[in-house]
Amino acid sequence: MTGRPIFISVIMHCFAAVLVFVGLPSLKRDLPKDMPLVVMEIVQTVPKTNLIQGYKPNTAKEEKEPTIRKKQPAFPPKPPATKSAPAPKPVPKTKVEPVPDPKPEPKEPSPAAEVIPEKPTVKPKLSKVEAVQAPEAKPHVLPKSLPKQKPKRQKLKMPKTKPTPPKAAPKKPRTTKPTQTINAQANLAARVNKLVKDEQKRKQAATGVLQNLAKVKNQAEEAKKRRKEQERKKASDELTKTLSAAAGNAQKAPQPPRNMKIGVDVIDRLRMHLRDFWTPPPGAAGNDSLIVDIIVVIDSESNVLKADIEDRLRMSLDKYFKASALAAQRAMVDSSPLPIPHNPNGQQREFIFEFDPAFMSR
Amino acid sequence: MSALKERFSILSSLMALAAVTFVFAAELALAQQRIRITEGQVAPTPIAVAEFTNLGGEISDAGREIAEIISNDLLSSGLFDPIDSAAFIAPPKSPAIRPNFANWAPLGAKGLLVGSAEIDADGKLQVEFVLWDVITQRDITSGSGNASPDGLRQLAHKIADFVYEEFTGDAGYFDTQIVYVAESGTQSRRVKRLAIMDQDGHNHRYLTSGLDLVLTPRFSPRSHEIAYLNYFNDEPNVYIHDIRTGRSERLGSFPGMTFAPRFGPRGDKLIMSWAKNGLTDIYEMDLSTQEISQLTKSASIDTSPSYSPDGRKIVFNSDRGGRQQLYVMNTDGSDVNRISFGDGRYATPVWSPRGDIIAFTKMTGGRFYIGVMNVDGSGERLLAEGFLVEAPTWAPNGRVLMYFKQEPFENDGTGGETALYRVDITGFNERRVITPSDASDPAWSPVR
Repeated sequence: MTGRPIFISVIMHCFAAVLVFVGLPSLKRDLPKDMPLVVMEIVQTVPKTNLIQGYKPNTAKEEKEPTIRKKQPAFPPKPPATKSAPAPKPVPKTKVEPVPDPKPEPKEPSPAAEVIPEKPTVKPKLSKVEAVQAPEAKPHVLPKSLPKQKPKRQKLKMPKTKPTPPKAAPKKPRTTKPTQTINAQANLAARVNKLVKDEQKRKQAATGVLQNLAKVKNQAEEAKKRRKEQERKKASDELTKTLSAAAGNAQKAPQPPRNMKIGVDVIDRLRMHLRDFWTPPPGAAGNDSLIVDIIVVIDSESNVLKADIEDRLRMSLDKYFKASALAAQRAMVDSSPLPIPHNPNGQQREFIFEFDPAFMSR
Repeated sequence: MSALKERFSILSSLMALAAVTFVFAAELALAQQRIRITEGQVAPTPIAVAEFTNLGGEISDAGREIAEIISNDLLSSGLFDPIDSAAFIAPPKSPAIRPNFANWAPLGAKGLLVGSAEIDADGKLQVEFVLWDVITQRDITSGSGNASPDGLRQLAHKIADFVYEEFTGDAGYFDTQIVYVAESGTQSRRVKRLAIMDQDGHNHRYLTSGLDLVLTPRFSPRSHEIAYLNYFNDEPNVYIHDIRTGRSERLGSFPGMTFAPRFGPRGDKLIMSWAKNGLTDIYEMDLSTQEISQLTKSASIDTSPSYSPDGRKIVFNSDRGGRQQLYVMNTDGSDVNRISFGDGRYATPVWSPRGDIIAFTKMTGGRFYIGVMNVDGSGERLLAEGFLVEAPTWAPNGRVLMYFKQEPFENDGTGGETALYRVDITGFNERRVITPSDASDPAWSPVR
């Protein structure tokens, strides 16, 4: 009796093991490394500019976030200060428009260009990748030429300005240094004292004025300090929130865009397109087992970045398969760019192309 | 306790199964989209064969000749389209230098062969080469070798074989020879001699004097022996000719007539037809012991036997069914099965070196055809047609067939021109093989 359950257990475990090894082929291959993902929250802040320009590459800037992320740990305390220094300048100029931050975005474009070169590993694609980089540089130029975009981008890194804009008065004190304000207050107090002493003749009135002035000074100073502290806290909180969100999204964001499905019409177009580039070796005729799987990675503009033969082991053992696999790989590389709609998210996508030479036997 | 254990084991099994199911489902969710490509094109592969250079980077005479031989070989196969060297933008200087692919891609080249050829101090020809994939910009294969200056052509054929194999998956067949019957004289006084040449027609020479009539030469798998039918003193018998020594030897002494010889796949046996007492049957001879065994016993004419590449089956033609048809049997003569059922008559079957199909001659409607069919008789396809088309022979890789065609004679006795042809098994790229005189009964050698 006790042997039966053990027997059942052994059978079930064996079945499970077989399922794992036979049913999960992708465990045996090296899938391409996932690229850092874009922070969607940032995209949402710039929809207007996208619509106006009809330009997609905004997403490329988002990819820059990962590089910024790495720098964050070192910067958090100081960068805001250094950045806030230049920031004040635009703020006073555009007191009414002070919505976005111009500086953070212009810096991001360059990191995006750095990210892309990491993708191409296939030699022939190098030139194509370089070609890809060029168009991506355009978006960086365009925003610069468009003054409207700058302010919008400023939003991200200038959260401090949001609370302040309504009141112009408090901003001025910010620009004056604390030492200057103390001196001014001391002068005022001295003047008041002198006036009080000179006008002691007016005894009753003088004492009342002094008391009121002192109270006003103290209240003003306290209010200023509170505001400054609040602003700093808010700014730092917002920065940390956006940065942590960026980091979190990059790590946790779902992968679907990478394996985004394409429709039947696009597949038909692909078949038509590849037909002109694929010349299977004659030995493939009548050989139904010579079906080759090519793992293809394309960039956002559907340029082929990578075309790897999946079954490399068989390639080294079977000369017919090797010739077929090389022919299919050549077809993929040669047919770049593919007639697949561009990815608006600017991300790479991955497909498996299955080359079946059955047509040669018809 | 036992009930508890049983529950526990079942529970653990179910959990394991659930875990596997979960992982499997996750795998499916992350799987990439598969796109099936089912249409391509059948076209010759454009390839650039650069003239081989010497150590100084200059094109040498030997290098020019090697490139020309390789280009001709690839072109003759019908599977390659060598690009004219005049179109090259910047011919490569050395196989050691990575080519600038930007100069080759615009030419449409998918492959680029770069090599060097230099005669060293010992008078030997030293050759190196690299085959590049222009599209993926990777080297596909490379190699080196040496030979005496008279071995230049063979060396070039071997390099062409490398290129052919890398792009097609099939073994190359350029470094092979053809033995055939060279014919001359009038129809009434026809002289037939054994001749041999490289597959591209070069290095032609005669093996017999022409005093005796010769027919049906067949190469041994060892490639230096040829079996053939020789009418010595008007007595037809099977002879073996050794190419290295130039000597011919009669294969035993048999009463009657022996003909249609063919070697076994290992070269240790030979099958042939033996006509005696009015009956023609198939016999097998062990070449080491000279022992003969009869494989067929029928009142009909059984002839043209051919081994399968694994040596387990024999295909032959027989009229035992009332009309000449193809049959397959075991090598001991058992389990005879008819495989051809089409109209007309079938003859001279030859098993492909790949073992997948059988070539044959078909006669129907007053015309001759060369065709192929699967080993079970299905999938019959006719590849060539003519007034007289006969005697197919396979290239060692099983992709190309050679045969001879004869034109009809005129009333005045002229005409009747006989020539060798070859065709791809797809039925395309039929080409005439140039010979010094009329030619028939070709036999393709193994790769040297």
